[in-house]
Amino acid sequence: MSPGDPAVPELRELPDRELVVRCQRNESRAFDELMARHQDRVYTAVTRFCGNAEDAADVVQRAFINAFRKIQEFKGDSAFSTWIYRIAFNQAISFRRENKRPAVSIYSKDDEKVVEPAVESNPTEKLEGEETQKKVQQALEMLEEGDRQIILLKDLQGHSYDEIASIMQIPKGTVRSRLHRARLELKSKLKSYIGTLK
Amino acid sequence: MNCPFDKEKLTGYYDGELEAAEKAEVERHIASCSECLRELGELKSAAILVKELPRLRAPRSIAEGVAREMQAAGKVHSFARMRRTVLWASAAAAALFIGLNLMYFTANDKTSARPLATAPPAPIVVGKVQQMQQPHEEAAKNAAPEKEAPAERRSTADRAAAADEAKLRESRKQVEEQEKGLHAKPDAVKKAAEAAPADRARERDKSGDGLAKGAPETKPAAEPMAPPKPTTAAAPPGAPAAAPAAKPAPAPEAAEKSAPKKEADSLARAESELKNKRGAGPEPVVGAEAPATHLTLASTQLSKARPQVEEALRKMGVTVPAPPSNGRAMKAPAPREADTAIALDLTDSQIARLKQELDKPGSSRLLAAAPGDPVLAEFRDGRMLGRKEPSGVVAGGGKSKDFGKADAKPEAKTEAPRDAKELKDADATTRGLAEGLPAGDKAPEPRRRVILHLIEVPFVPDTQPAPDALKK
Repeated sequence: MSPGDPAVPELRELPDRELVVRCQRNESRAFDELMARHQDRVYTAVTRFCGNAEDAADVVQRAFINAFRKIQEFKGDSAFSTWIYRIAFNQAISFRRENKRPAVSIYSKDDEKVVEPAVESNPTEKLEGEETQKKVQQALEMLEEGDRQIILLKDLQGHSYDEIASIMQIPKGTVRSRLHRARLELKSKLKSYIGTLK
Repeated sequence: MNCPFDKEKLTGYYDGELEAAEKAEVERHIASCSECLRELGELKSAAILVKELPRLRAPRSIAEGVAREMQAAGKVHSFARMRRTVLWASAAAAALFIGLNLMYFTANDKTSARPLATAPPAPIVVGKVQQMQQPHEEAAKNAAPEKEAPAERRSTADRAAAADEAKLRESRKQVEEQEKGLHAKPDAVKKAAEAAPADRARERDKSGDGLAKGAPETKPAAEPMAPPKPTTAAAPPGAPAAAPAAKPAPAPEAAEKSAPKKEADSLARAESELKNKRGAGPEPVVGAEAPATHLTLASTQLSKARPQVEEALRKMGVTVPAPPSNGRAMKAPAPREADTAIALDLTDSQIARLKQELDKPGSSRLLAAAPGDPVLAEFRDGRMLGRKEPSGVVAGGGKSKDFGKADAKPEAKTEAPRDAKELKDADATTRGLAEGLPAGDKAPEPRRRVILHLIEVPFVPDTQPAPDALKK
């Protein structure tokens, strides 16, 4: 059994906090359960952040390894999800600064990777949807790292302002202003698409 | 775009992160402001475009990479845990080893390495005849039987030194206890002597049980003395060299019949009985109740020895008895030796002073020993103290080859401490004299019966360097 696989049933019922405690007691199966719960969401956010699936996989793997190594230092002041997102985004930022290479579109890969494909009723809509997603991804990649990160955390992942403040380690009031600014920027990038959405 | 309304509240309103009052405020405002309402719509559209992006499934390579890392970390953890365990075990073993060694050596230091400089001065030991005749190994065994195991690892010299130290301490303690007993309860002394364990009495015998330096006046004259071995001129030929070689002169009737003297005599008798019971051999009873101290003046010119003795005794106010005419002069086993015995009653101070008077390097030397004592062999054959002779080669003809074989080694071992002890005794006595404490100024000093043997020897070896106090 490897991390990310479905854990034993008794662990599935446990909250993240209890699993963290068990990890700190060197119970490796608890970490498998934590990884199974969070790896897809983290991978999605990081992939949208990096714009490159391979890099995202590398970054997420490093993020979870770091989390495993430092699980003894995790004091439970925040949720494990908050903690792993912070690690993953910091890892992604470092990775992008170290490896300046052109992004490989996530849409060049198999659709198997898509957990929740966009709902399209017909091939035309599917093509339109893929085109829209490319444009959105391109617009995201044109944003500042902070703006991109905050939009992904709020609009893609649905985190609250408190959680975003914890992940990005900024005040809660700053989250709203920064998110507003990022959305205005994204809106300007997707002006033509936004007009069609009405 | 010209509306002054805080547009960030529109974002908060869309995300549901506003307080109720703010939410109501936004709702009132957008109800009347088309511009803000349009912007709210655009923000919502942008958020929806991002929200509609498909969620992705993490590739399996991520989990596999993490699993490999966890496995490696587990091995590292196991190795680290094992290494910690091994380190702790090693540290514990090392601490135990060091602790045991410390305990072992501390115990040894307490018993055997007690420095002579810090030890109180040894008691004045005048009669050491029996102690000198005892084999040194036996003395060491009796003195410190519990230290046999460490002593085996030490050198023979160390073992001998440790035994001497132990004997000195034991004898000093016993002397102090007996002094107290004599002062407080004279009758208890006899009882204590009778009830004393056999090895305690043996220890006292071996160590000579000399007088304590601090209170020589209260010491019974005969108590610390070991009864001399019977020595006669007609000793059987071929007798062991360590056997008595001179017969002690019969002690004249004691002139002083003071109470302490009687008690001391009783104590000595009790000790003699104890010694007989444990098979130490029959004790000679030569006329006198109190055993006498044997001193030997070894002189290169016997003809001058007696005048010197008489002169020295005269200085101390002691009358020299007339030379015995009944053949009490001892015939030495060696043809060249001739000795004479003078019976005296002397105090310890007088003995020490007599030693000072008669010790003349190269010509005469006063020894606390009977004429047959092995220590005098050096005077006869010219050996230096502590020097070993080849086995079976004995000069002077006064000793058999057996003596050279059997006693050469123990003698070499015991010479140095014995001579040092002798000097220490003289030193202690001389110190008492130098401090202006003549016997007459104190309580009457007990006298002891002393048999002074005068023998002629071809050689008087040099003594070890005397302490500074002795030079004074």
